[in-house]
Amino acid sequence: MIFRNSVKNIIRSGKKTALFIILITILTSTLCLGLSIWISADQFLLECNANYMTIGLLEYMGPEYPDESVFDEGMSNAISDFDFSLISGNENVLLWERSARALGYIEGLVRTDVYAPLRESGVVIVSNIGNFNNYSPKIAVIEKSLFSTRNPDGKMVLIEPDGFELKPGRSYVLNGSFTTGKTSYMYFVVTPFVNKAASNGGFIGEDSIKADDITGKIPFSLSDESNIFNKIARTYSVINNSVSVHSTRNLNSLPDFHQQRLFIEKGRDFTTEEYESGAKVCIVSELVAASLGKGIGDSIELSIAISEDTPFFESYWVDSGFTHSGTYEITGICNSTGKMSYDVFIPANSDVDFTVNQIGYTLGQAVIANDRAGLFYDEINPLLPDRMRLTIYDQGYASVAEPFEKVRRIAFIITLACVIVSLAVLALFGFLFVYRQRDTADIMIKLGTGKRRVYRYFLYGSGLISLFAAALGSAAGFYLSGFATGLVNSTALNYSVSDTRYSIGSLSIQKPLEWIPDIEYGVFGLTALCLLLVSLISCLSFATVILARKNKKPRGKKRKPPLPSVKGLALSGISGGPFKYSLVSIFRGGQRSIITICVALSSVIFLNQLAHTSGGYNARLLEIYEDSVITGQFMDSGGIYHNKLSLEAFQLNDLYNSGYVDSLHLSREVPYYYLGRPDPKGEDENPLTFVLPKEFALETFLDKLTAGPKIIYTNSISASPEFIYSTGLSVEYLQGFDESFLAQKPDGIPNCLVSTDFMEETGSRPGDVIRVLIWTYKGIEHDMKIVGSYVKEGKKDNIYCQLGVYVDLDLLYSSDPGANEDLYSYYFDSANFVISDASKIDDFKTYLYDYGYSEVNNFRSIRQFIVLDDKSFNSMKNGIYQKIRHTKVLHPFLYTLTGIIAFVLSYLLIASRKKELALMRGLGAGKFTIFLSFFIEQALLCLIGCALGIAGWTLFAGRLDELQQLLALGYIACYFLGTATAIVIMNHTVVLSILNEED
Amino acid sequence: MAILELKNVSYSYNNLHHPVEAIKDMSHSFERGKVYAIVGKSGSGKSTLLSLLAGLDTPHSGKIFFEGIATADMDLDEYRRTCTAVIYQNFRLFPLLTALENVMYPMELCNLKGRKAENTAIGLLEKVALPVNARDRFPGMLSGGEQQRVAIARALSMNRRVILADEPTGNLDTENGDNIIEILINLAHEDNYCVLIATHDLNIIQKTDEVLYISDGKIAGHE
Repeated sequence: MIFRNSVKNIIRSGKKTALFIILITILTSTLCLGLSIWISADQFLLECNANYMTIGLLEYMGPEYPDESVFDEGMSNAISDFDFSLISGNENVLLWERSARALGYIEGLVRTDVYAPLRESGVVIVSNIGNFNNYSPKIAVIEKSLFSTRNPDGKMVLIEPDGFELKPGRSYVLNGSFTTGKTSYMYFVVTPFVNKAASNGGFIGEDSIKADDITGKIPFSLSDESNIFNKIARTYSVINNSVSVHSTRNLNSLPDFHQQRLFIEKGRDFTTEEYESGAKVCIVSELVAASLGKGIGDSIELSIAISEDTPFFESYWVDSGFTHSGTYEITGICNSTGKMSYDVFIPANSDVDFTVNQIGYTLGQAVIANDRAGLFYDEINPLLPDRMRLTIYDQGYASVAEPFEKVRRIAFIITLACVIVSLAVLALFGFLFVYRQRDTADIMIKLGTGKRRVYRYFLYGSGLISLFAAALGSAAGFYLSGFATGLVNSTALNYSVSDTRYSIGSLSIQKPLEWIPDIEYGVFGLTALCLLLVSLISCLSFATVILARKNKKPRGKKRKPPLPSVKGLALSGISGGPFKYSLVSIFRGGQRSIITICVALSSVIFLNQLAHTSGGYNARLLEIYEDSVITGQFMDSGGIYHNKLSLEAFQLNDLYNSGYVDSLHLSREVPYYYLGRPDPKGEDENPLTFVLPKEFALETFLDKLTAGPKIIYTNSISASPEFIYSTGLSVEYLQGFDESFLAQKPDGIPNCLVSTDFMEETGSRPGDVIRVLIWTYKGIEHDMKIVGSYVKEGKKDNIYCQLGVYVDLDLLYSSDPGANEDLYSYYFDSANFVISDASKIDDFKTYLYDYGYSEVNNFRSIRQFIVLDDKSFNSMKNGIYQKIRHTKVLHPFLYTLTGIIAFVLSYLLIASRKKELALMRGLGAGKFTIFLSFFIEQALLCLIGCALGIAGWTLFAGRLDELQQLLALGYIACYFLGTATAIVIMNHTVVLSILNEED
Repeated sequence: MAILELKNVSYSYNNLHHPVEAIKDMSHSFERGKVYAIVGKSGSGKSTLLSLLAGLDTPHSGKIFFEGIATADMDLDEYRRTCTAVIYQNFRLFPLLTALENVMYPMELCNLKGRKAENTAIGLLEKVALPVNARDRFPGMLSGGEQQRVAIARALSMNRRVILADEPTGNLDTENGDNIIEILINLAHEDNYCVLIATHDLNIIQKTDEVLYISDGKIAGHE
């Protein structure tokens, strides 16, 4: 009977029952979807974290970067001065490792590859010296090679003696290198022996060691270990067959493994225990393994040479020997690629400090928490000294994970909102289905129904509704889950905070990871069950309250609201009618009037605050656009080299004329040979003419010239490759000159800047004219006037000359399409630029993309690679853009909500005065009179509140912008509309029905 | 001549489930100078009849004539303003207007404003014997009897000749109730008003000139 009556009750409350079934169904399904997507996105992000590794690569951008054959003192000083604990101690860093490389040697390894470091070097014994022809160097027979990879014994060789006199009939031991000449003969250039480890150790003096007359000492004793050439040969042999040893605490954080240029082909990575104990295990390149005939589980004898402040290939000297050696078990074999073909990786061992042996320009790498890479960059980048560069490589984590972080956040908000709304709805459900039936409960109790039965009466009904709705919602959620996850996935795929094309922030490889929604269907059942339980608890609670109240005495009469004071109401002077009635209502309305004013006041302030926030974000974004200087640079395919790129002038002309860039800095390098200073009086006729050597001597000359200093035709010395990463450029100009002369068209003798060292060596001074021989496809004598000197940061005494000497600037910058043809023969070695308008960066990227420029790791039709240094800009822009994006969604919603509140409030305020209105109608007041009476009152109250709000805001903020004025007007309009609607509706209601309702 | 006349008036409420016919084909006429008692059980249609006579709605069929003119052909607002006045059981005074202002309100609707309206209102309040010091009080500060006096004074404003009182003493004690009824009877007998009182009170019924018995929306009899 109880069950039957309960069911009858819910059926007869048809509308209410239907409403709650719909509400609970919607809430259950939304909650199920929100919860399942949240869980799924969270799991995916965990998967992302496990699959991706973000590293911050710290490099020193020295003037010779990335040439590893030179030792950079600037880098050495920077390392000494920089506090690396700023990085290692950063809270976002999981692991920091200084670059740890050293030259290693494995007994039995013989290298014949093209990357063998001393493949062309040789120490040879020659005899039978003679002349090849009038122009040639000497010709001789190689009696024996102490070191050479060319097997030259007994062969004829042409020798460029580098000033060493080779006499016929004598025998010599020579140090030098083999080069390729124009004849079938081998060609050997004598060069002095250079080895930093030997110099630092005091094993060789300052005298150059390049050749020795050994006539009569043949056969040369190879067993004489004390002979310097023997030592050189043995040193060469070790260095040429050396491997690069990398010590690490996380193999996958090494840039080459991280960027998947290297990967383990056989065997395994090191275990945690091996890392922790610094075990004697290693991973070798496949060429190392193949050369040695070793496999997984085999052992190698590895010796390591660590020498402070030496270039990589000069860190071993036979007398110094190796600093460490040991037997290492091979646990893995990685691929060999390019220069990374003969490498050995070992776990870091505290006994061996590789870091004193700074090799290359990589200072170290930090493993960063994937989701905090941006934060890390923003914190560390400003602390880096001159020429230190931090680059983030995230393997594409940000582009994959960021959308799902948003999805997770949104799903969480939806879930949380659903939980809150569900609790409210279920509380209302309990209130309406139980508490409002307290009279029924009272009657049931009075009729002798037991409390348990009363409880059952309520729980049956509410339980049935909840059960049905929760099951329906759960099923709906289940069927909608496919659609919802599809929607989430497509939204996430299309989601992009910023355009990362060509960005320095996206130099990393992009590891793909697909979101496969793993919907936990158990969540649907569990959610439905929870909602059912909460609804039952809600009903049970209200039932308990009802039954507990039965014994309580009813409370006293409700207190009447306080009456307004008649005193001070000076309205008698106002003639009757709607206006008087409105004023009377305003002044005597008490709380009602105050509430309206307060709501209007607070709403206007709230709207002003929203508009102010939104305007603030937009202003900040404009500031970012205005203040940001985004530079772009042409680089090689790996994003490492920024010089010697062979950039075509016509493409740079197009770039310049695209309208997206200004300050296009170009440089073209040409080798030069200093001839001297021509007589300013011109009395000597062409005294500095240089006669080019012929044939083999010319080749030697050109080889030296190519390796030597350059004339750099450029329009900016500060943006040239030598100084682009430096902020310490020091230039002294002749009076009347500054850097801008480089970008000007030459007028007469071109002007140039030379290094202070150059001036010291040549005895030249600012204002002097110097003559050089430059070589492109032929030698040309070239006069230049020194108008300034700079302190060089690289090794070479480069001369910086006006760009207009190399190319006609009118042609270079011409917007005439025909200019392209004339520019076909011009090339530049480096180019960088500044984007003219940061706000148009995305358009610029689209221009680059459409033009066909390549990105690092992403080849397109033009194999010129552009990198835009927009990381900081993106970071700032994204931060503010996210907020703007949110405000774009949230603010209109809040504006609308405030408008709705205004409308509803005004409507309800009028509707609550139905009785008053009916009475006026009953007394014969016309509809228009009534309309005016109420409308004027509400309009005045609203206007007072808004005026106070606007005045308060203006006093506080000092100004009121257009949007704020519009929003205030919008609020007023909504309020007026609500008032008018309510009055009109009530005016159209039959008075009799209102009065009957009241009675 | 009858001031008010019902001719075959019917009226029903639009209840969603069951339309309720409150007045069924009712015909009767009312004259000035007389007090009518409308008597019947709860739900018999007394209040509906008074409301229709007050012009709060129009009959669904049949007609009501005021001084020979069908109310359907009149502007009902004006009809309510100038022809009839209603006195309710629960007074229905404007809570934010003083007693004086409540009486002045109908006058102001008829463009009688300022001092003239005020003097007229004071005269009416004197007529219903409202104490002078109660004139500037809000309804909430007055006793039930005083509020009903104010309601009668308001009904008398603008010289409306028909007063419809719906259980005017229902919320009053016997003494106050008697006083109010006395005022209403005097208005009919001395000032030639037509007064219709819906009531269950036998004392009142006995004092009226004519009694109409309403049952199930019809006039079951009159004496």
